[in-house]
Formats: sequence, C-alpha cells, structure tokens
Amino acid sequence: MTVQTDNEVRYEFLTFALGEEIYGMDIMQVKEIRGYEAVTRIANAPPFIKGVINLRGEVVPIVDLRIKFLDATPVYNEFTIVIVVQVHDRLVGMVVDGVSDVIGLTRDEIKPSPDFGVAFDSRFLSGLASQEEQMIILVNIEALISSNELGLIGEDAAALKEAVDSQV
Amino acid sequence: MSLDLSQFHQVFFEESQEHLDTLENGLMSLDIDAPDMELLNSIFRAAHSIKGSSGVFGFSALGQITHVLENQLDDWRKEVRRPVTEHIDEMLAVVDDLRALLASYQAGEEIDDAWVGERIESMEAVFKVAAGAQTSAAPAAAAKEESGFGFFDDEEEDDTGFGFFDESEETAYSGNDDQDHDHEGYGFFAAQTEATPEPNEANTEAYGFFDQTGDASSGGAKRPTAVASSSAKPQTAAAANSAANQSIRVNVDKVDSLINLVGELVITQSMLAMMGKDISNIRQEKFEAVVEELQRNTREIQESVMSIRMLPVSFVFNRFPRVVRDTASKLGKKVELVIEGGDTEIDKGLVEKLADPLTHLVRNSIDHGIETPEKRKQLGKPETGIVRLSASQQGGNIVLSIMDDGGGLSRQRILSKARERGMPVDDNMPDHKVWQLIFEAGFSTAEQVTDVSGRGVGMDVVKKNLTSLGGRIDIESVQGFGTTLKLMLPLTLAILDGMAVAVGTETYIVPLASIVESIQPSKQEIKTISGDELLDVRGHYWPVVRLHKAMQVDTEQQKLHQGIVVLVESGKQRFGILADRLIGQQQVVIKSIEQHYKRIDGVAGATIMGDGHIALILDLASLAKGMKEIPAMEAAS
Repeated sequence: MTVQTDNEVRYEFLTFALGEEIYGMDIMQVKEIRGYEAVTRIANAPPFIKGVINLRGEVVPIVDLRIKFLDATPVYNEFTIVIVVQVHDRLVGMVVDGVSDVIGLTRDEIKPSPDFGVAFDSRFLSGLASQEEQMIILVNIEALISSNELGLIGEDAAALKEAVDSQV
Repeated sequence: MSLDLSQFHQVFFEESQEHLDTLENGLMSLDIDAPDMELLNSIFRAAHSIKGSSGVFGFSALGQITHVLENQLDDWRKEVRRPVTEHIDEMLAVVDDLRALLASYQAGEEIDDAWVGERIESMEAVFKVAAGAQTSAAPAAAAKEESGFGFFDDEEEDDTGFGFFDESEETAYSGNDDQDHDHEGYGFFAAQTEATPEPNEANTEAYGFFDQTGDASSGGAKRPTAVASSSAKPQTAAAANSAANQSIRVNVDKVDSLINLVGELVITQSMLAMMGKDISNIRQEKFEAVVEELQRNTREIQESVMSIRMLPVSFVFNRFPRVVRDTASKLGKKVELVIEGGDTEIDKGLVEKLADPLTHLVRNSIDHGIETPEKRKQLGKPETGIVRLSASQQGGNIVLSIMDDGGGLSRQRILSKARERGMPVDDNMPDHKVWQLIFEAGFSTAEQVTDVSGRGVGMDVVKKNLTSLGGRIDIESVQGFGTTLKLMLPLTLAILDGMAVAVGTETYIVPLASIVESIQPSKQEIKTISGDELLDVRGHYWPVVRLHKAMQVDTEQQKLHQGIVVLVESGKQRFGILADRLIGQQQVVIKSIEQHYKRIDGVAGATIMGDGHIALILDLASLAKGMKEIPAMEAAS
C-alpha cells in the first residue's frame, strides 16, 4: 500500500472487475451495491441497457458494462453485481463481474491515460493507476452517464449536457 | 453565525402571495354602498402584513407601494372616506403591480425605483382626485406607522393583522371588535368562544382547551361544536377561519417522498402476504391474520398520505371573480359569477395545471356566450348574464363545469366554418360531434376578433392540455339558452386506473379510461388491406398494434385470433392493441421513467406491481404514431 504523507489528498475509489480488467470509480458516486435481479425490458433500447428495476420506488435503468465495453455475452447468476451510482439526481445501475476493494490514491499516483490504443473510450477515463502490479482503469462515471452514447438520456438533455469535469 | 434572513424569504413570498389573494378577493367582494367593517379590516390587515414584513426583509418598493394602499384602506376602515368603484379599480391594478413586484423580488431582479416613484404618484393622484377635501388621512397614517412592523406580534390592540405565522386568533378577535367581550377572542377554539349567551360561562369556555371542560362548566349544555354550527354568521366565519389555519406548510418533495415510501410499504406488505401462503403449519392462520391487520393499516396510511396532496378546488376558482370582472368590463357585458363546490378536493399537481385552461374557458363563455345587456333585454333575459363554475366529485373523477346562460353555440355557423376550412362534415351530424369541431386547431366562429378571444387559438390547446392530464371535455349547448362545458378529470395525477395485460413475460398497463372494450376476435372479424390486418367490430374497422412487436417482446401468440385485442380510443385515434391475455384491472401509482432514463416511445410511465416488478404504462397517442398509417377509422357513422 502507498504511504500517505500529511499534505497529500487521497481519493477513494471502488474497484470492480469487468472480465480480466480492474476498473475504479469515485466512491462518492456509489450509492449502493446489490445483486442482479430480474429487470423489466425496454423496447428499442441498445443491448447493454438491460431494462429498469424498482429501487425502493424509483425506476432505475440497468446498464451492463460488460456488454458495453467488452462486447461479452455475459452470464447472470447470484454472484452478478450491480453497482448503483448516483450522478447529480440520476441513478443508474451498472452490472459488473464483481466488486473487489476500496482503494485510496493520491493525485501523483493517478497517471493520465493514453489518448488511443485502448478499447475503453478515453473520454470516459479519468486516468490509470497501479496497485500491486495490477493496472486500475479509473472511470469517469459522470461523463459516462451523461454521454449520448450510453443512450441513458434523451437528445435534448444531451444537448444541454454540461461540460464534464474530471473527477480527479 | 449571523442571522440569514434569506432563509425566510420563501415563507415571505408565499405569505405575501396569500395576503395579496386576500386583498384581491376582499376588494372584489366589498359592497360599496354598505361596506362590511370586518371585511375592510381583513383587507387592511392583509395590506398591513405585506407592508410590515416587506420592511423587515428590505423589499422597500413593495413596502412603499403597499403603504399608500394601506393609508387609503385605513381611511375606509375608519370611515373617514367611503370606498368608490374608481378606487377599488385602482387598488386591483395595484394588486397586480404588487404581484409583479413580488415576482421580481423573488427572481432577484433589479427594481426600477423611478417606476415605483411614478406608481406611487399615480396612485396618490387617483386616491386624492375623488377624495376631494378629505385630508385627514395623513396624520392617521403617520400614527399607524410605528406599530406596523411587528414580526410575531399579535397583541396589538388595533392592528391585529401582523402575525407572521398565525392568523387564527386575530381573525377570531377582530370578529368581536365592536363587542364588549374582546377577551373572549383568545380562546383556543374560536367556535366555542361565544357559543353560550351568559358572559360567565362564555368565559370559562373561551379558555377551555378541551370540549369536556366547556361541557362541565356549563352544566351539561349542548356540545360546543353543535352550538357553533347554529350560531350567527360572524362566529361561524371565525370558526371556519381558525379551522382553515390549523395547517402547516410542507415542501411538496417531502410529501412525494412520503407517498413513495408508503407505496413501497404497500408492496412489501403484499410480498409478505404472498410468502404467508407458503407457510404450511399451524402458524399460517395467525400469520395471515397479522398480515391482514398490516394490510388494513398500510391502506389507511396510504389513503391519508395521498390526501395530503389534495387541495380544495377553490384554490383555482378564487381567481375567477377577478377574471370575470375584468373580462366583462372590457367587453361591456354584465356578468355574475356563481361558484359552487369550491371545497371539492383535487390533487395539487392538477390544481396548478387547471388554471390556464379554465381561465380560457371562462373568458370564452363571457365573450362568445353571454350577450350584451341590450341584446339580453331584447331577448327577454335579465341584463346580467350568469356564469356558473362548479366542481364535484363523481367516483374517481372530478367534474368541473362552466355553464353560461348566453346564446349557446350556433350549429349552422360551426358547420359552415368547418366547410370553409374543408373539413368533412354533413348536416346530419349529431350535435355533440358538431360541438367537438370547435376543438380543431385554428377553429374560430367569432364574427370579430376581440381583445379577449376569437383568434382561433385556444380551444385545441385547452383540449390538448386536459387530455394530457388524463381528462376529457364534453359540451352541451342549446341555442338561445346557453352552453355547458364539462371537464372530467382524474382525482389525482399520481394514480391511474389501468388494465394490466400480459405479453410474453412482460406486463403492460393500458389506461382504463381509454379502453372501449376487449375482445377475442374471431377469424371472420379479421380483414386485411394489402396485407395489413384490420378488425371489423360491428361495422367499425380498427387497425391493430401488436404489442409484442411494438415493445419487442418474444411471444408465441402472434396471430390476432390467438390473443386478446384491447380496443382503445385516444384523442381522435381508435385502434386495437394485441396482447396475450388480460391480467386484470387495478389502480397503479404512476412513476416517472424520465427521472433516470430517457423517454421511451409508446410508454407514458412506469408502475410497480404487487410483486415488486416494474410494469410500463402505455402511452396510446405515441403508440398509435408508431403505426405506419391508420386507415379510415370508421366505415360510416
């Protein structure tokens, strides 16, 4: 583990697995972690949008990041995890292969991601970090959720989308 | 931390809004020939409260203008001058300006001081012109000045109107102003204070906290409530006031979240009930009894939580005396407005959305419906026309009607207008179909365009707005005798009566109000037009939307005669929806999808079913748009 000096701010990330890769997202945007449950399908939605679930009275869309980013044909079982993230007022459930840890990183430990050469769209990356030989891909959840590409918001709303700040 | 007044601003804006309403309504109902002192006092208090609190918050323009208004009102109240129509008109105009000012302050806009100065001058000019030599107003106003800014102060002898959060006691008090038992006004329940004639007993009752106390001291007299209901007018008015003020302000978000939570509770409860069925020993009976108890309690909680959102329809109706007055005077007509059923309760969300359509309809009634006084005289009708605005609850619906005793709709004129516009009409159309023509976009039968209406914009918008609220509008009209517009609206926007239908493994909700009937079509009823199937039901041809196609659901039943077809009517469109089977009719709580996801074609919202799953509510209008083209709706009418 890295040693924290007095004047360094540490950012906490929840790490999760998509296939063999480890990703991280700002812990402050994670609302809860739950198991995968049956969804209600939505017509004309892209395949990675599984549908909507009832999260204590709110109708929350479920996105399978494994389909979106790995193009995988995923399995759903009792170990499938949904990370419910909250960005501003919006709630979205993200299906991942598993949740591993919460790690703290200082700004120095977060390296910029290369502009190209990675399958994961660089717009949604806020950097790379390594922990015990493992590269962690830090995801900019806000940019991801408010992007047109994910199809979570209507085009009008997308047009109004604010300039996205990187989390770090 | 220093005191941040801005946290009270919202309360101030709301309070001031209410005071302005009081002011406006008071001015409207003031009888110039015999002004009611109590009414004058309440008008004065409203103005005074605005002035006082705007001073506290530093909204000076508001205070300055209200100050002039207040001086004039004070003169009326003290009978230094008598109210005249001209002054009331000016005051109503001032109320409008104050509303605008309030909105500016609320939006944080700059206030044009020059304009404020001019406005005050123009007001003073108007008030002085007709006042003539009366000048005693000034000193009286000056004397008033010092006592005007109390914040939580309601012990003032004279100026009883300054309490910020509480008016009930004052109202009761001022009602007794001229009588010698002022002290009674401080009782906790205004209704009881003067119920009994003997001063002694009245006293004991006035301070009583509970009904029983009063009973005991007056030696088994009638229960105070009963007495109150039979007592004279001022007392009942005071009682009503104090009852109306037994309320608190709550942010709508909090209520919505409460409604949400209770909805969840209901679902959890029904899950529990389902689990209870699996218990297979001696405990089952006990368990079921407990669940039943829980069920009853949750239902009651749900009902009372829903009722928190309900507001009396008078919240909308109260603006109409003003609308009618202004519209009638602009058009030179004499109109009396009758309001009925103002205490009918309706969802807050609806109340806000009803104001515009209703205003339009009322203005229309006056402009197109009510004839000029001369014409009415010729026709042998009283010169003053009547517009009757009423509300009532009928089952799960609220019915609002706007009735006028004017000339009624002209069948000929509507038909000829329709022909001019190239609309398919014929002379034998039934009346109600003719009347519906006025809801066509751009349709106007007015002979001339007036300030108020007649430009042909409106009725279509009104109908669209009402339809979007889940309502419908009917017209009844008899030429020469008047027109009645009837609006049927759901009681609340949050709950919908729906029919649950199954397609594959999914459930969809069809709004019950749009369903004509559900049929299992026989092969003979299925016709085709170049391959597209149509249903022939008793001479009407219905195109069919296959729900499994529209919603991309896998299902084995893809033929019309295998499933069930729900025939629906949405706006002008009629079509059938093919589903696998009907699940049943139920009330559903409408949830927004767009809060966390984009709009879905063909879907109006979502709801949570008893098992915790989400079912989508169909949006028939957009579902119909998804069809290529809808062939002729009807073979013949």
